[in-house]
Amino acid sequence: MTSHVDAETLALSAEGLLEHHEEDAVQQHVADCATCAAQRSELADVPQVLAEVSAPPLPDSIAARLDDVLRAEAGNRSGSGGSEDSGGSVSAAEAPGVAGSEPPGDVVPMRRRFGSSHRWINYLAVAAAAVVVVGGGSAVVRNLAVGPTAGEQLSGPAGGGAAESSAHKDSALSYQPLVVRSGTVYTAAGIDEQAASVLDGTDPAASDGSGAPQGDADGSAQDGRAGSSDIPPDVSSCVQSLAGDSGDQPLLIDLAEYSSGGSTDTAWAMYYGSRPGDEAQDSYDVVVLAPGCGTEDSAPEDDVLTRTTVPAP
Amino acid sequence: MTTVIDAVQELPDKELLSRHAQGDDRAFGELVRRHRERMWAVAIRVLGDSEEAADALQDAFLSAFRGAHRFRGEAQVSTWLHRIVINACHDRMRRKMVRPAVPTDDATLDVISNERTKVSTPDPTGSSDSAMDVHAALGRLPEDQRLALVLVDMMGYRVDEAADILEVAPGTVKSRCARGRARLLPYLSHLRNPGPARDVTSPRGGDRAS
Repeated sequence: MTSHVDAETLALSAEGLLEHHEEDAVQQHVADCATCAAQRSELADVPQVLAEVSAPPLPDSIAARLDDVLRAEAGNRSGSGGSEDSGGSVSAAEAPGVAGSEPPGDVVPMRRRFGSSHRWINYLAVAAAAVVVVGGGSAVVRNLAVGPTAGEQLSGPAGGGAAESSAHKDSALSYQPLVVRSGTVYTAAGIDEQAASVLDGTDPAASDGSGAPQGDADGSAQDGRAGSSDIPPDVSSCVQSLAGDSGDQPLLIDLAEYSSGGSTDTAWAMYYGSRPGDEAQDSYDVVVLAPGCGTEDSAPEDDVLTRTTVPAP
Repeated sequence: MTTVIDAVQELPDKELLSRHAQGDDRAFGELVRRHRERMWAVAIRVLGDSEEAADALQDAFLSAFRGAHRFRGEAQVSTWLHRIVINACHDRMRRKMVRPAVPTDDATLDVISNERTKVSTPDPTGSSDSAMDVHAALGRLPEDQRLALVLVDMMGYRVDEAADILEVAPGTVKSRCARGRARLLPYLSHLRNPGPARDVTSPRGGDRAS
């Protein structure tokens, strides 16, 4: 093969999709051609470039709007024909494609059965509220900076580690909590021990990044890569609401569980350094919170399940 | 009361879906809570626009809400939801093409600027712009290739998982990814490798110490 190999052929070759003779020709050419070798290595970097693109976490406003719309839909469903089994009546309202090929969410939910006008008005009210919420979303999004930053650190392929210790000292801008799923089930009685063991495996003040997620307890295993999308945005708003005016931010967030009175629920353990901004910590204040902290109608302190202070490992 | 809610939280996805189909109103809410983050992550990457993604997400969950009885047990609920979200994104994209020149709204700009600022301070690679650049570049790809790259390269799904979601053969996913990467290359080459920093004058001069 005398001419250069085009990018597509190189990419197909990298995926092992070429026929043998074609693959051989490509290999031979690339072995002798610096241009094509360089292009091949650029191609090999594309997945990495794509993987590093962060996306904003789901804004709370949009999550809320989703809840509203679905609540309206649920109300609609139970109201529309009490005796009728939901399955049948619902299916009739839908186009063959699974995803609605119907107009934007705006009017869909009611369209087929707005026989009763008060429901219709109800829905409009919900829709109007949703619009307002979305408009105000930017403020929420801005406050979520904690989430994505943490995500990057979690998923950050290589790198990061070295620069990190100095980053801790810097301003709030460079603040990066470690986010882990330790799989711990915190309890009021055992929290000291539990926190110590989490810290043992994951010292947020350590700069080598070894605190990466320990064991993929369960869920996130689906793709083996924890991305920013794995950090619930509610965690971010919770952090923000706890910080209040003090601006204190946890160094480590453990997405875990809390067990009390025989029931075990999702809980977030926030580890605050005793000396904010300093690398060397004497001890950590640990606060275990119920999800939902950070929603506007609950004071953060109400969601504290238990708390303690443990010495740094 | 609380115990009932706890029970819902412990149920597997499939059970939730069938309870929902039987009229249990809490079941679907729990499913949404479990999956919305991930579904959002897919939609925002496919559409590159938070407002569009929000609409797609809403369309998708409404579809799932109404179409739960059509779920066939052999797939994972999460796979099924991915398909619905991707279909909803597809519909959005199609509509957008019919109606060109969608004005950029403030919400989008805010998300983008947030995107820019949150990449902490001085970034020598200039990668703070990369999210926008990548979205723009992805926008130039045929949809098939874009979807494959979002799932495999951006979300990190295995090829067979992506193949399941897209309902094509794994080899098809691979070749879509390969062709997509090749097409993206010209738009992305400036994003990889901070590159030879000597483009900008190096403080350390050459060997011409005088």
